[in-house]
Amino acid sequence: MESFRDKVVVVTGGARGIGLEVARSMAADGAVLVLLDAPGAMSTLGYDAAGPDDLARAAESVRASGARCTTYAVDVRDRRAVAAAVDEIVRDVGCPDVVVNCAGVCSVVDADEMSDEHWAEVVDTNLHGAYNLVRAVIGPMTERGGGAILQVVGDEARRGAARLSHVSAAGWAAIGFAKSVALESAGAGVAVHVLCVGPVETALTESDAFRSAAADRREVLRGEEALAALGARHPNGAAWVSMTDVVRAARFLAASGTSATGSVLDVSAGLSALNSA
Amino acid sequence: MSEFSGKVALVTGGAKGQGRNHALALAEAGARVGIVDVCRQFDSCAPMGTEEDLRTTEAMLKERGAECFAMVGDTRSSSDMRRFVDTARERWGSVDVFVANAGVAAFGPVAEMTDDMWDDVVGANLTGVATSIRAVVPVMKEQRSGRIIATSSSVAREGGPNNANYAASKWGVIGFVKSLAIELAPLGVTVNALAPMSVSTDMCHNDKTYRLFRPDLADPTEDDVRDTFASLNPMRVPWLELEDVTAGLHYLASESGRYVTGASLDIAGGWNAYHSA
Repeated sequence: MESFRDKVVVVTGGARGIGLEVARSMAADGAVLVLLDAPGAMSTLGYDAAGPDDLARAAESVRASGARCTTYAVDVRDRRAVAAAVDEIVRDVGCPDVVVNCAGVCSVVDADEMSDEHWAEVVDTNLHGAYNLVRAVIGPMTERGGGAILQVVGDEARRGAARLSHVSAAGWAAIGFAKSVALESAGAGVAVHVLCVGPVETALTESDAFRSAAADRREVLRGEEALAALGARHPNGAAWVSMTDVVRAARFLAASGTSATGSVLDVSAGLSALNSA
Repeated sequence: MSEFSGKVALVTGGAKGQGRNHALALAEAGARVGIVDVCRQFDSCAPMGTEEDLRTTEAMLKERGAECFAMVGDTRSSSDMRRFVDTARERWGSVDVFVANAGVAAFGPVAEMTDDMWDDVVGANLTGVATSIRAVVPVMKEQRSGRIIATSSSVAREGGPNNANYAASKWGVIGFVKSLAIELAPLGVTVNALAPMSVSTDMCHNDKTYRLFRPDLADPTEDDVRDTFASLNPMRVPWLELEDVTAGLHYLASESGRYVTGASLDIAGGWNAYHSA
């Protein structure tokens, strides 16, 4: 089993959901955690992004295992703030060993009804945020000569997804970006992986609109119907991908080094069987 | 009667290069053609079209007897793109073919990338493609017909070292295209991507690109880079000619392509044979 003892693990989107659970798991192994979250206001998401209170609670729950944990209220869309936070982390905590970019947002809208703001809030967070983070950490990590960057994307990054064209575009782009950085950094011992997840029960997936879109349904189904559609969509019949399995995959990738660099690991309820590769 | 006689085709990035060639070919096939180009050099990027280039393309369209218009506009601007689409619609009543071709390139490793290199390339190649297409989708939905073709790249099939901004943007185009293809399929509107390798244009033939391919030489010439370009694909072709890409565009825009949607057409001398999909 992989160990994260004394590793410096930086997690964006760390206040809740997948980011928090990955953080808690590595903290339980003795990692030193840094959580970034609590972005600025967004108006198109249809759900609330994590706030400072969520971030504080997340840190408390990470510390419950005895781990050190610091937090930064940083919006990954803010390039300067991300760079400043990373500078401080390198100085105060140490060069990151593992960087998990889990900051991602979502809205559900057809392309012809999509506003510039819909596009920008998703693409700025999910794609430009990935760049802002990697741009800030790649120097220290390659100089030190090792480490892992893990980009988390949704299954829309592997195929087309109606009503999620902006999320899909940003997800595909994040994979292309990750693979490019993997090629640039492998020689320096820095691995870059992508973890692609099907729907996990989090704030991002709580709306019927998202659940219906993820089920490839054009109409918005309600409640149990939406969950049933998700189950029908997934080859394994499950509506949800279990958080435990996602965390396990994140740990595996974060510890697998450059032998697996550039890879995309799908934990997507069997949707991966529809992928070309 | 010519194949596109009476049809209306719009091409972004029409001042020169692939966009100009696509516009001229559509005009020769009988289409009425509108072109737009930003006509402004982004400092970080390979040589871009000028207003003089745009007027030259317009004159070439007229020489071919085409009804046409040319305008200066930025594909990243929703209002510019609405103006572009509205002009065609007011003048000719429909938009049958929309070619989201405008794109730029700027090279360098992520660790040394300037803000402009990332923002300009992703802004034009992904946000610009999506913004321009979003402007035409309502028209094609109402018509219940239309062909949308976006320019992606062979680099959207793998990681691009020293090219992460470009690779990310072109991967993103494929995700967007596939998603929109699903949304518009019930209406008979097709949405596809063209994925060419290097094309013999200014984006390929310039000092920065030559130096990227031959970092060992101080002042590489076309002859110096030919073999390096050719080594990327099994046919050992250094670069495509414009007509090679336009042939793919023609197919996707034509009646023959009526059931082709959500595709990314590789025109790459077999470079794609190295890729999973």
